[in-house]
Amino acid sequence: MSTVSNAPTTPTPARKQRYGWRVVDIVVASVVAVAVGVIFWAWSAAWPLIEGLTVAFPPAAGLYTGGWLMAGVLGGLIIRKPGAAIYCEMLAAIVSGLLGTSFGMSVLVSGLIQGLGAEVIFLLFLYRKFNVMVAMLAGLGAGLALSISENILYNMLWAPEWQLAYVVCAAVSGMVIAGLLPWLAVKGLARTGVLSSFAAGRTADV
Amino acid sequence: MTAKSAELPASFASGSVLARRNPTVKLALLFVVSLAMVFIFDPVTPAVLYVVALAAVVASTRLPLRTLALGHVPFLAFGLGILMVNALSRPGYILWDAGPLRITAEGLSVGGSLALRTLVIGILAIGFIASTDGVALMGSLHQHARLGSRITYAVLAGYRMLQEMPREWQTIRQAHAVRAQLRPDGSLPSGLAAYGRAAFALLVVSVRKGERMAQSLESRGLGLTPRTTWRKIPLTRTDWLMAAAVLAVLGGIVYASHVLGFLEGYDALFS
Repeated sequence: MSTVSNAPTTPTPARKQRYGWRVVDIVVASVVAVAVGVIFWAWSAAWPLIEGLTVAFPPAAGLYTGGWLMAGVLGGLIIRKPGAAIYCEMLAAIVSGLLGTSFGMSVLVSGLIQGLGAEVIFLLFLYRKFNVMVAMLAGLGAGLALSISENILYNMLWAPEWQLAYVVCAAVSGMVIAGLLPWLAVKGLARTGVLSSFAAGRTADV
Repeated sequence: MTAKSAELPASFASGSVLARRNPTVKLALLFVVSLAMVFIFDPVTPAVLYVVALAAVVASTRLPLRTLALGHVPFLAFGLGILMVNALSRPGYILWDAGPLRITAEGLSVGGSLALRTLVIGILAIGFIASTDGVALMGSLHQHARLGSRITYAVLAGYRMLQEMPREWQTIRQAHAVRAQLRPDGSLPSGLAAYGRAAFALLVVSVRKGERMAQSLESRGLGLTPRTTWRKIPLTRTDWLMAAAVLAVLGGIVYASHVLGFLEGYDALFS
């Protein structure tokens, strides 16, 4: 494999370079999202089992939900551009939906909400900081977005304590599975050199 | 890793009535019906919708029974899970109990509704996937839904990746079989860590491929405007007719269910 990976960059003003999407950004974001979408699909296949296991205390299933939040944080960490988290999370959700999970097209809405949860954190740091703390916060944001929206949409029958427990479980799961894990993955990716045309592969803070 | 798209290639129903319809219209209809289902919580309405949708998909795609049944498996499994969880956990009139387990009428009704909802969305998704070519879908979204050309081609690149992924996965696992440390009995490790390693390799390959694809797309002038499309996806009067017919049937069934007293909304959850 050649190591020549100077992605063609058109000369643009600094501002556009920081926030505008290059072709390589869109393509790599799509490709990563598709890869994670397949993982989502496999993750969803085990959901009935998790539901069965947590039938005694359903909020505990929140601990499993972080797996569906990885795409947003991963995309945000690699691409480092506005919208990357939402785009990757939504596309991954759509891919998993098209491969056939039983959540049907509701994944469109979930993907948007959960991607937004991660995106807000990257926005708060003005797309300048991408260290482990920001990654875990983004995972946390996605977890909160997921659990709060699901409490409103699906779990309205639950007692408030259960709903709170679900939020806490999803937040922890989001922080670890969707925050720490993608951060480690990006760190590993940067080490292999495939991210050389991205800021994520050049700076030391990953 | 066998993606379901591999079991349901677009060619299965190619040339059928449904395959000739415009992909954007089909996708929009799938979305509208899925959305409408969210507000229905009685078992009768989705059951009727399922039977009608099944008949329509069978008639318009002529899918072989085996393919249809295989496509149902994940939806059935999920639906069964929902039905059981609801029947066992929802409070209400107790039909049957044994120790800590009890089944309630309300649980059966709401669970049955949610399970049938899964099947309705499932059969429509099967029809959509079996009758729609991915490339045509993206082309149509580009033409009819004003999806930008950069995103369109980026997603098409991702789609290509998706098709190659099972083979890629196999290649990686085979490479690991050659180079990785094998277990004492000489077999390839298949634990979580081994799959994690393979998944990471898949990610690396994906990023690398994506970068190469971006280069070739850019060297072919992607992002320049105005763009012309070579193969136009037709959007005809028949497509609008189909949309009107689907919406009319959906509205008709929901209305009839309401008149006959079967239809229940969110309130069913709290009764």
